[in-house]
Amino acid sequence: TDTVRAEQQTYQLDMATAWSSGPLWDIGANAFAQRLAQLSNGRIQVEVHPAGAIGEPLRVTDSVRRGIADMGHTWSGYDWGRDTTTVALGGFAGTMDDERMLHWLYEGGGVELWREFREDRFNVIAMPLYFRTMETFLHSRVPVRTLEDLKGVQVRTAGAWVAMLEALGGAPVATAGHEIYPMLERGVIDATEWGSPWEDTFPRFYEVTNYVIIPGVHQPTAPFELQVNPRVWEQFSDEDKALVELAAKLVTLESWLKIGHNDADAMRFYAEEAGQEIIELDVEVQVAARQLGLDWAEEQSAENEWFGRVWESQREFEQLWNNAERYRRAAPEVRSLGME
Amino acid sequence: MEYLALWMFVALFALIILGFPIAFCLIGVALVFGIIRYEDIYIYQLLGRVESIASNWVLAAVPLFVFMGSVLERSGIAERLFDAFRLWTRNLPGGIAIAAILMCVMFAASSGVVGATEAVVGLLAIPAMLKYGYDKKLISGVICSGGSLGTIIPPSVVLIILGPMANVSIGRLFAAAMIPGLVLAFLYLVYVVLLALLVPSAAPRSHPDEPVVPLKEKLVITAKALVPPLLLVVCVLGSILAGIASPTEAAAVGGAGGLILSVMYGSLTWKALGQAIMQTLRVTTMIMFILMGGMMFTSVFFSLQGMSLITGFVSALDLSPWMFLFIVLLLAFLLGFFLEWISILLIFIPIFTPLLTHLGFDPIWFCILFLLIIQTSYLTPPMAPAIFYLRGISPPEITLSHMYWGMVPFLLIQGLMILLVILFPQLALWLPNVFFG
Amino acid sequence: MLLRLAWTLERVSLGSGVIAALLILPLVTAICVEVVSRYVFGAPTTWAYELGYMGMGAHFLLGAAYTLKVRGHIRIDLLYALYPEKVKAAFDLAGYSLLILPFCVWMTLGFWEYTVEAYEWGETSGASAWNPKIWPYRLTMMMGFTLLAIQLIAEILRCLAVLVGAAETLDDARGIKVDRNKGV
Ligand code: NA
Ligand code: NA
Repeated sequence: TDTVRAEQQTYQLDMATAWSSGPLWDIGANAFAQRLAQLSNGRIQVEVHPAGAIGEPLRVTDSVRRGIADMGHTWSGYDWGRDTTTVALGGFAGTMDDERMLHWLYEGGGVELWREFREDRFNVIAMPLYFRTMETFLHSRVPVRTLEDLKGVQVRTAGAWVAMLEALGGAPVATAGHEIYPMLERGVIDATEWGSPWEDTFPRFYEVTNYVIIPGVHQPTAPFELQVNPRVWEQFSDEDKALVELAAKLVTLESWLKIGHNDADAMRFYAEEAGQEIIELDVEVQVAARQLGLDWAEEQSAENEWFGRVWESQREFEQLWNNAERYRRAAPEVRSLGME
Repeated sequence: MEYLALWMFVALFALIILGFPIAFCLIGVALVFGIIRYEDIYIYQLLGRVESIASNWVLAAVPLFVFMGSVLERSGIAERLFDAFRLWTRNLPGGIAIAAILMCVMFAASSGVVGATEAVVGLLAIPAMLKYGYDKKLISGVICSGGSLGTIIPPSVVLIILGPMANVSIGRLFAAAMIPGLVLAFLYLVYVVLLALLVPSAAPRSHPDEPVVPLKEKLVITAKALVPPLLLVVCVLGSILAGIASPTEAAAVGGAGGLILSVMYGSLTWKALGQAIMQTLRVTTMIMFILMGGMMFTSVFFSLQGMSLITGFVSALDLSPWMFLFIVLLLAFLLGFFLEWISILLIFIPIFTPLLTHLGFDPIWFCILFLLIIQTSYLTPPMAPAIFYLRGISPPEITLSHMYWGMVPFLLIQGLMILLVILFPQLALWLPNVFFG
Repeated sequence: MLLRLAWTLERVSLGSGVIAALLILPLVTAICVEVVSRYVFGAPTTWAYELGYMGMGAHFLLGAAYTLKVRGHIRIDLLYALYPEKVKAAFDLAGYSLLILPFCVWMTLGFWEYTVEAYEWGETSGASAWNPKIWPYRLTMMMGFTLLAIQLIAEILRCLAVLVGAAETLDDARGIKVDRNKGV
C-alpha cells in the first residue's frame, strides 16, 4: 500500500474568500484548510487568501468559476442579483431555524440540490461550509419592540431584507461594511444588523449602541458555502473528493457548535459587561417578518424555476418536521427549572 | 516560480526608475506576471479589480475632497486665509513656511487625502516662498510633509480603510491619530524655526515690499479670511462628528459648501469653476489609476504565493516580539519606497495585525505606528506620491533633486515621531481611552 | 499625416474628458440630497449609495484618456529627462504599444463580454434597495478603456512622428505648450 500512497497526488490550492478576519476567517475558511490538510496527511494544501486578495470579495463565485481561484468560501446570497435561489440556500426571513436547516441540508436532500443548482447555473461545485445560528435582529441606539417602534428607524442592511424591512416601516440605509461602526457611533444610522451575537462582538457594535434586539427573524440561519472550480474538482480522485466533502461537513458542524456556545456567552457579555439592554421583539414583529419572507419566496417561486424547486423541498421538509418541538423539547417551564 | 513574486518588485522598480508613468508601471508588471500565472483567464482578475475599485463607496470621497480643495483654491478663499496667516507669522523665522504648515493642518482637518491638502497649500505658498528666496529644498520638504499630514490628521481615508482590515474601530483610530498628528506638525514647525535661525539664508526674514498692517486691521482681515474655511471645516468635520454624515457624504457636503461659499464671496467665476472641475478630474484620475494599478499588482503578488513568502521569511528569522515588530515596520517602510499605500495595507495588515496582537501589542497602537509608516511612504522616493503632486504644482526651477534632498530632514522627523510613539504609547492611546473608556 | 491623425483622435479624449469632469457636479448633488433627505426628513434615498460609487467610477475611468492627453499620469523623470528625444519616443512607444495598449484592448473586450453576460442574465447590483441592472455601468467601464486605447494610439503616433523625424520633440508633436503651473 506504500506504493499506492506514494502515487497519490499532492495539491497546492488557492482559496478566495469574502473575509479577512473574524469567525468566518478563523473557524470557517482556515479551519477547513487545516482539517483538509490533516485528513489528507498534508497532501492537499489550501492557501486561504483574505478578501480581495485574488478576486473581489463579493464575487468569489466568479473567481472560482473562471479559475482565478481553485476554491472559494463565501455566502451564496451575495449572488442574489443573478439568481435569487442563492438566497433560499443562504437563508432569509422565510427560512426555517438553524436546527431544521442543518437537517434539511444533510438529511433532507439539501446538499444534493445545492450542488446541482450551483453546477447548473454557475458552473461551480458547491457545498455548505460554516453554519451560522440565528442572527441578532439589531444592534441599536434606539429601543425597538413593536412594529410601531420600527417606523422610520434607519437600519444599515443589505440584500433581500432591504425591501422587506422597508415594508415593515424601517428605513434601510446601504453603506460599505466598515463604515457601519463610525456611522453608528455618530448616529448617522440608528441601528444595524450583522451576524450572530458572538460574531457581532468582533466589529464591537456594543461600544456605540445601547440595545441588543433579538431574535434575528430576518435571518434565522445562514449556511455559508465552499466552492470548487469544476476542472480542479475533476482532478481529484474519488477518495480525495470524499475527503473534501468530509472536511467541509466536519467544519460546518464544528462551526455551528462553536457559534452556538459562544452566542450564549456573548449574550451574557452584552448584558453584564457591555451595558446593553437586551430587548426581545414582540411576536407581531416576528410573525410579520416571517410572513413577508414567505410571500417573497412565493413570488420568487413563481418566476424562477430553480427557486421553486429548492423552496418546495424546504417546505416539504418543514411540513415533516412541523411541531418537532413536541417530541424534541420539553416545555419551556421544564428547561427553566432551577434557573434564576 | 517560487521567487516570481519577488521578481515583480524588481521589474516594477526598474520600470519606475526608467521613467514610465507610475500607474502604467504597476499595470504593466501586473499584466505580465498575471499572464505568467493565469494565462488567458487573467483577464477576469483584471476586470474584477476594476469593478471593485469602481464600486467602492468610500473612494467616492477622493474626487469629492479633491473637488473641495480645487474650488477653494480657484475661488481665492485659500489665498485669503494664507495671507491672513502670513500677517501673523511674517516676523517669525521661516514665517512663510510656518504659515504653510498651519494651512496644511487646517486643510488636513477637512480632507482625507494627501493630494488635496498639498495642492491647495502648495499653489499658494510655493510662489511666495520662491519670491523671498527660500531654499528650494526647504520649500519642497515643507509642502510635501505638510501635505502628508492629510493622512494622519483625521478624517483620513487611510484610517477608514485600515480600521476594518485590522479589526479595530475607526472611531478609536481617529481619536488615536489626533495627538500624533498635531505633535508631528509641531515638530515640523520646530524644525523650520530652528533652521531659519541657524541658517538664515534658507529662509530670509526680510520682506521689504510687504506693508506693515496695524493690529486692528490684522484682526479684521484674519476674521474675514478665517470664516469661510472654518465654516467648511465645521461643515466637514462637524457633519461627521455630529452624526449627520459618513466621511464620503461629508466630502460631498464639503464640495457643495466650498461652492456655495465661493459664490457668496463673489470670487468664483465660470472660468475658475471650469478649471476647478478639470483639475479635479486630472488629480482624481491620477490617484485612482495608481490605486487601481496597485490593486492589480498586489493581487498577482498574492497569487504567486507572495504572502507565504513574506510570512515564511519573517518566521524563519525566529524573532523576539520587539524585533518582530521592528522587522514588520521596517519591511513596510522599505516597501513604501516603491509601492503605494493600498498595496502596503493589503499585504501587511491582514497578515501581521493578528500575530502582533497575539504577541501582546495593542492593535490601535500598532495601527498608528503603521499609519506613520504609510505617511512616511508618501515622502520616500521614488514612489513618493507627495512628490508627484508637488511636481504637478511647482514651477520648473524646483528640480527633482531639490525635492529628494528636501525630504531628508523631514524623513528624520518622521523617524523621531515613530520613536516617540513607540516610547510613549500614550500619545496614541490616551485620547481614545478618554473618548471611549 | 501621423500628427493630423493623432490630433483627430485627441478630440475624442477632450470631449470625453469634459463629460467625465462634469460628472463631479451630479455626484456632489446626489450625495448631498441623500444627507439632507436622511438627516432632515428621516428618509434615506434608495439610489444615492449606488449613484455615488457609479459617479466616482465613471468619473475616473472616462477621464483616463483626457488625463493621459494632458500628461496627468505622473512619471519619475529622474533619468527620463536626460534621454534624447528619440530615446524618449522609443521608450514610450515600447511601453505603450507592448503593455498598455494591449491591456486596454483586452479590458475593452473583457468588459464587453461582461456587459453582454450581465445583460443576458438580467443581473442586478444587489447592493441596495434600488438594485439597478448593472450592464449600463459595465458598458461605461468598457468605454473608459476604449477611450484610453484611442488616446494611446494618438500617443503612439506621436512617438512614431518623432522617430521618423516628422517632429523634433514629443512636445512639438503634441503641438501644445505645457504650462507646468497648471499641472495637477
Ligand atoms: Na485628514
Ligand atoms: Na514612497
